[in-house]
Amino acid sequence: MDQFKDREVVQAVLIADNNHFENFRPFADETSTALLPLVNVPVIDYALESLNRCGVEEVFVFSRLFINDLRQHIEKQIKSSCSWSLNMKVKIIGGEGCRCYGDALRDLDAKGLLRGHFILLQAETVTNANLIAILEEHKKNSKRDKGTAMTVVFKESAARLPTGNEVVIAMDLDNNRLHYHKRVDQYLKEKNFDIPMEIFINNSQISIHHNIVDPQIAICSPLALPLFSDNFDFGTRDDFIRGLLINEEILDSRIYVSFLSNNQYASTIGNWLTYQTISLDVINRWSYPLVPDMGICCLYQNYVFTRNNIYKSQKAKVSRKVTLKENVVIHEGSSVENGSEITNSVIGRNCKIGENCQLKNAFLMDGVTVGDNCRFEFCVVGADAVIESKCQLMEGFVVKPKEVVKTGSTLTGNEIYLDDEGLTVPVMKFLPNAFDDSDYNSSSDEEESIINGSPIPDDANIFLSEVIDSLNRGFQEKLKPDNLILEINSSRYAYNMSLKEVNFNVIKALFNLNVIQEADEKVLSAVNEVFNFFGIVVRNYIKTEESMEDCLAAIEECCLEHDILRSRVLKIIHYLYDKEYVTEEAILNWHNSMEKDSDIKNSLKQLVEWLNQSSEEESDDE
Amino acid sequence: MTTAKPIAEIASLIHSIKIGLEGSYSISSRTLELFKKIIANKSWKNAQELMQLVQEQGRILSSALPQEVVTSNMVRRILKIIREAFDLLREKNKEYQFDDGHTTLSLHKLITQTSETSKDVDYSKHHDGLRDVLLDHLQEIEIELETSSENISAQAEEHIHSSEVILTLGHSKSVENFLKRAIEKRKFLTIIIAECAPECRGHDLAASLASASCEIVIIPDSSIFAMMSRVNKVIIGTHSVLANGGLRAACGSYTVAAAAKHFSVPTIVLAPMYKLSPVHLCSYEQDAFNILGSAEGVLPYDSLAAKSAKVYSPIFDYVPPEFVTLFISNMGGHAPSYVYRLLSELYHPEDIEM
Repeated sequence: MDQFKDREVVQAVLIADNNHFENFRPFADETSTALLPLVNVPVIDYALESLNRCGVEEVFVFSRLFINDLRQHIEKQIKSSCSWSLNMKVKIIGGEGCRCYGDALRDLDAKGLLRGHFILLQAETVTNANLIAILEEHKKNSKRDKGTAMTVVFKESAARLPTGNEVVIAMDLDNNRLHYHKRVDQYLKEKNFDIPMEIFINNSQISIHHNIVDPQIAICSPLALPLFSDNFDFGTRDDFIRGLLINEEILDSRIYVSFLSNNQYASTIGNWLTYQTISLDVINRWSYPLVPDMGICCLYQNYVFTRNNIYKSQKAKVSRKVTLKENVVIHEGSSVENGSEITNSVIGRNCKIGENCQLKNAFLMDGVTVGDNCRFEFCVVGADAVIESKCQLMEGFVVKPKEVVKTGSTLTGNEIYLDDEGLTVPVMKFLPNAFDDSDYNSSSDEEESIINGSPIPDDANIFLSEVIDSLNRGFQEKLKPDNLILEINSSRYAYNMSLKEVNFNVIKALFNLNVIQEADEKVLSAVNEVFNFFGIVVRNYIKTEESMEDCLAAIEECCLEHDILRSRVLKIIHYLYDKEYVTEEAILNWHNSMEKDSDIKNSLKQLVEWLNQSSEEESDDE
Repeated sequence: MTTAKPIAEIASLIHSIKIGLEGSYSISSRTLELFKKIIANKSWKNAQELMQLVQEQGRILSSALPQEVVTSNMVRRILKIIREAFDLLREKNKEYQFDDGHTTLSLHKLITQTSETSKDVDYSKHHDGLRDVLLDHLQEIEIELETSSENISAQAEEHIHSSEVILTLGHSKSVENFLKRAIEKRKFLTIIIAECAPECRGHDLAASLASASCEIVIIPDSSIFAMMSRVNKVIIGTHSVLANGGLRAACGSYTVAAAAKHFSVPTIVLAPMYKLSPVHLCSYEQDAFNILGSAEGVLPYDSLAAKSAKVYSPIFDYVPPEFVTLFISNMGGHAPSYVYRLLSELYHPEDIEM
C-alpha cells in the first residue's frame, strides 16, 4: 500500500543575497554574492552540491537583487548537466518587493510551495554535513513537541578572529531547547553577556556555549512560515529567534539546537575575511568531499593535485622557474611566467601572470591579467581586471571587475565605512593561530608598548632584565649577597642560560643598575660603591680566566651603549685589576681579541703598556 | 581527448559513485548493466560503431573517475567481447565459403592467426545477430560477477584450518564472506582485525563476523607489527590489482604486508577477476594512483596545528607484488607473477590504452 502514499519530497530553501552584502562592495553592486567564485566555483554551487549529496530533491533559490543573474547561472549549469542538477529540481523565486530575509519567507508562505519540514540555508554556506540526519531528528522532535518551529544548526569552533558568525547561546541540556541567543558583535570586544535569571531557575540543566559559530543552517517546521507572516517585523533570522524566545508563551513555539559533529565542516561567507579563511579551508581539504580536485558540480576532474596542496589544471601553463609554495589553485587556460612566486592563492580561468610577481593570499577571478614585477598580498582581483606592471596591492585591497590598475601604483586596503561610527568592513589579513585569543592579545599589546623599541624579548633579554631587577632591589634594600646569588641562579635555570651567558649578563646587569646609570659624572664612585656591595656576588661568578673574559666582554658592550662609561673605561678596568676581579692575562687576551682601532682598544693602550712593562719587570726580577 | 557528451545514464552513474556508491562489486555490476542497456537500445549498424560508442563513454567514465578502475576494466571486457563475437560471426560466414581450409591448422598458423585478427580486421562489416550474441555474452559476465564472491569464499576451507590465527584489515566484502565461510567450517579460529584508521571500518567487519564459535580481536593499526609474530595467515582484500601483481589497497595494507613479509607470514589477497587492471604504477601522486581524503580524519579542525600544517590522508597504499603470496580469484589461486597472463586472457591488447 505504501506505493500509493504520496511520498514526502525533501525540500530546501536557499537564500541568496545575504544581508551582509555591503561587506562585498564593490562586487555586490554588480552581481549576487552567491555567484562569488570560491576556489573558482560560484559559492552557490557548493550549497547546491551539498544539498544534492544529502538527498534533497527540490530546492528553491530565493533572490531579491540579482534574480536574473542567478537564473542565468542556474539554467547554464542545468544545461551543462552539472552534478547537482541530477535528481534535484532547482527553482528560482523572488523579486523586487522583498527587502529582507523575512520578506523572502513571507513570500514563500504566500506561494505555498513548501509542504513539510524543510532545510533553510544561506547560499554562501559551505558545508559537508549530513543535513538529512538533522532533518530526521527535527521531525522526530516535532512529533514530540508540536510547537517546534525551528532547529538551528551550530558548529563548535575555537575562536580565532571575530568574523560576525560567532554566537553565544544558552540551551537546555535535556532536550536541546534554545533559551538564549546572542550574536557576538564583531567590532566591540564584548566580554559580558546578560542571561536572564529565569532561564536558570526554570530549567534543571542549562549549558552555555560561547565557542560556536553559526553557519546559517536551520531546519524549519511548516509552522515557521506563518510565524514570519504574522510578525511582519521579523527581518532576519536573528529577529525571528529573538522574537520567539521573548514571546514563547504567546506564540507557543520553540526553537531547538543541533550541533554538528567534529567531522562535519560548515561555515558561511559573510565578509572578505571569512572568504579568505573558507577558501583556505577548502584548499586544505577540510570541506572534503567538496574539494577542488573532486570536481565540485562538474563531471570531469579539473585539477591535478600534488604535494603541498597545489591544484593545477592540466591545461594551465606554469613556466619552469615558477615557485608554487603551498595552497595554490590554478585553473585551466591560465599562465604564469618565470620568476613568479605564489602562496595561498587562487587563480581563475584564463589569467595571465607576468614575470617576477609575488602572490600571497591573492584571489584572482577569471580572466585577470597581471603585468611583470607585481606584488599582491591579501587582495581580491575581480574578473577581467588588468593590473599593469610593478603594482603593489596589499592588505585587503579589492579590485573591481574590469578595472585597470595603472603601472607602478601602490594600493592598500580600501576602507569601506558601514555607517557614521566609522566601523569598517573586515578585510583579509594574516590569520593568527588559535592561541592568540583576545585576552592574550590585549595583554601582549600592553607589554609591547612598555618595552617599545627594545629588541625581541628572547630568553637572554628576559633573564637580563630579571637580574637587573633583583640586583636593583638588593642594592636598595641591602639584601644579603648570598640570597641574591640564589635568586640569580634560579632565574638562570628558569631561562636555561649557560654559565657563559650568566657571567656575561650579571656583569652587564651591574653596569645597568640605576645607581650607575644615574650617576653621570660621579660614575666611578658609583662603580666603586656597587662593586663593594656586590663583591661577593661578582667573585661567585667571576672565578676562572674564561669567566673574566666574559666579564670584560660585558663591560665592552656596556661601554658601547653608554658614553659616560666609555670615556672612563680605562679607570674602570684598572679598578677591577686593582681589586683583583680580573687578572693581567685576561685583560691582555681581551685586548688582543678586540677589533683594531676601536675606541675602547685605543683608550686601553696606556693600561696595556703598563701591564706589559710590569710583567717584564717581574720576569727581570726573577 | 574526445568531446563526446556523456549520455544520461553515464552521468548519473558518475554522480552516484561520487556521492558514495561503494564496493567494487556494485560499481562494476552497475557499469555492466548500463552498457547492456546501451548495446540493447542504442542504434548502431556494425561492430565498429558500437566499439566507438563504448570507448567514448568509457573514456568519459575514466576521466571523471580516474581512481575507479573497475569501470574501465568493465569497458575493456565489453570491448573484448565485441571483438570476439565479431570474429566468431565472421568465421561462421567464412566457413560457408572455404569449407576445407580449417581441417588442419599448423603451429605457424596458430601463432600468426591471433596477430592477424588483431591488426587488419574490418569491424565495419555488418553481421546479423551480433546484438543477440553480445547480449548472451554479457549475460555470462553478469553471472560471473554475481557468483564471483561465492566462488572465492568456496575456497575458504582450502586455506583456513582449525585453530589458526588470521589477520585482516579494514572491511572488504570478499574478506567478510570468506571469513564467514571459514568460521562455519572450522573451529577455534582467532581473527585479528586491524581497525584501519581514520575510517575504522574494521569495527564494522568485527560486528558482522561476531559469533560464538570464534574469537575476534580488534587492534589499532599501530600494533599490527606487534601482533604479526603470532599470526598464521594474513587475508586482505584490495581495491584493484595492478598489471605487475602489485596492489592498490586500503591505506594500511602496506604496513600489514611488510610486517607479514618480515615474519614470513603468508599474505593472501582476495581479488575477483574484475579487479585485475592492465595499468602500472607510475607515480604515487594523486593524478595517477591515490585519492586524498578529508583532513579532519587525521587532525581536528580546531587544533592548533591545523592552521599551519599540511594534512594528508591518503585512501590507498601501494603494495608491491613481492609482498603478496597468493591471489585468490573466482577462478582459483594465482601467484602475483601470473597476473600478466590472466590480463592477456581478459582484455584485448588494443583496448589496454583507452
